[in-house]
Amino acid sequence: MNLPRWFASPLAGTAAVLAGLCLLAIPLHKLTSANPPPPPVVTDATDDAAKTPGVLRLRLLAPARRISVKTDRGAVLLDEADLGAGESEYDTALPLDGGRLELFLEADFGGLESDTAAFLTVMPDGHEEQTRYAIGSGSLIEVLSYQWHTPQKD
Amino acid sequence: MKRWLVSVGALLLGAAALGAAPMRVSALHPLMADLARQVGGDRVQVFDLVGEGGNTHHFEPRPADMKKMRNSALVLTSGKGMETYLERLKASLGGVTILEVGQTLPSLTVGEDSVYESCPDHGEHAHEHGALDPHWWQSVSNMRRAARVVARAFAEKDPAGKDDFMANQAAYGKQLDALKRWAAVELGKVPREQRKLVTAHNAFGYFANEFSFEVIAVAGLSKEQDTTPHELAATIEAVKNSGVRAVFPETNSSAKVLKSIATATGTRIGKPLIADGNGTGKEAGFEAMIRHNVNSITQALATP
Repeated sequence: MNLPRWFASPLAGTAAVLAGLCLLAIPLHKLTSANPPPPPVVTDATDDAAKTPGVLRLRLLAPARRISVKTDRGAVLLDEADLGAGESEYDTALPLDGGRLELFLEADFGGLESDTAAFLTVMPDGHEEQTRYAIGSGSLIEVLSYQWHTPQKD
Repeated sequence: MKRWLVSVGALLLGAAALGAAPMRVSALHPLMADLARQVGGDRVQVFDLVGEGGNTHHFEPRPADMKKMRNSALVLTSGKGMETYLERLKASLGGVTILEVGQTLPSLTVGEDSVYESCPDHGEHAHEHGALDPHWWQSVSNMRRAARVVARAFAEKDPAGKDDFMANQAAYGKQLDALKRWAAVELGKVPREQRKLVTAHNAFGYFANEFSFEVIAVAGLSKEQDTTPHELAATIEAVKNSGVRAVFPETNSSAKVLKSIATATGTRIGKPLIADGNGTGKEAGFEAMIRHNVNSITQALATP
């Protein structure tokens, strides 16, 4: 079998190898890009903190278009849309840090012009309930601080 | 014929579904039985094993009670060390779920300064801090939290009833809020310097904490605890110094010691208070107990 002379040249060999690599790259690319790379893992700092089971009791004087409660480390304890006026309760886990808890309350009352209020009662297991509130109109953004007595360790 | 059989089968199935047996719940405290009824509604059948007027401190289950407990999905106890026989009972009940309702509620310790401690497990650790006051049901707020504890436990045993249990506990919560507001208004009639409770049995710590009263207890936590002459003399001194107008006996217990204190201090004897939820008739149940106690206290302390 007589091959053309140019086929036997080193240049042609290199081109053939490159073409082969390109062909191999197509399925490899498909394989690796079929699932997007996982997003960077965001570590919830509260994972490290000991959590105490408890209940949040939210009392709204006016309906809220959206309301959320987060810890100071960003963990979402409740996030509700179109919540009516009145009381609702949520089971949760609270990252008490030496008996302290700071919660970030955010509420949107859908352009309500008159003043309204949101009351947030926190009831960690084994501790007395404590209530804090935020007053405003239209929307609320408030940091609510709670503190419980912790027994002294011997 | 086939059609007829199918119809009858469907009817029978429907009837069975409609008449599904309620979940059986046993309670080792009259107030836990009351709570179970409030939260469970028609979905539970409650066996109040101690019964109205029973002694919650020293209840001894009979064979018939053991049978009821073994046939129950859940046994409710008040917890916090109230049922001293609980460990023995757990061993003999085997796989029956026992819920200590007060376990996760805040605790009051009766010690030198009566501070709150967080001892939800109330195991050996709890006793390092001193005596744990088991009478948590004397706080309306605690009872409200307890309703949610019970609702969650019921929902675990009967998931189909979860919405009912949660709705019932929410409705009961509103009822208890109204009760607490009423109590605060009534007790507000008592002059500030008279907000002191001299009682025969140190069971009103949670009540006093909730409504800003001071407790001057004659005996210890248990009704059976004897008062020594030294304790009696100290109490008489404390009552004299406090200037309080009345002392309060307790239903189902002797008022002998209190009578001698009243005589020695020139105070009046108020209507007996209900400490352990063991009221009878119209005074049975949690709300009736709180109303009775608030009325008795206001009547005795608000008037000169």
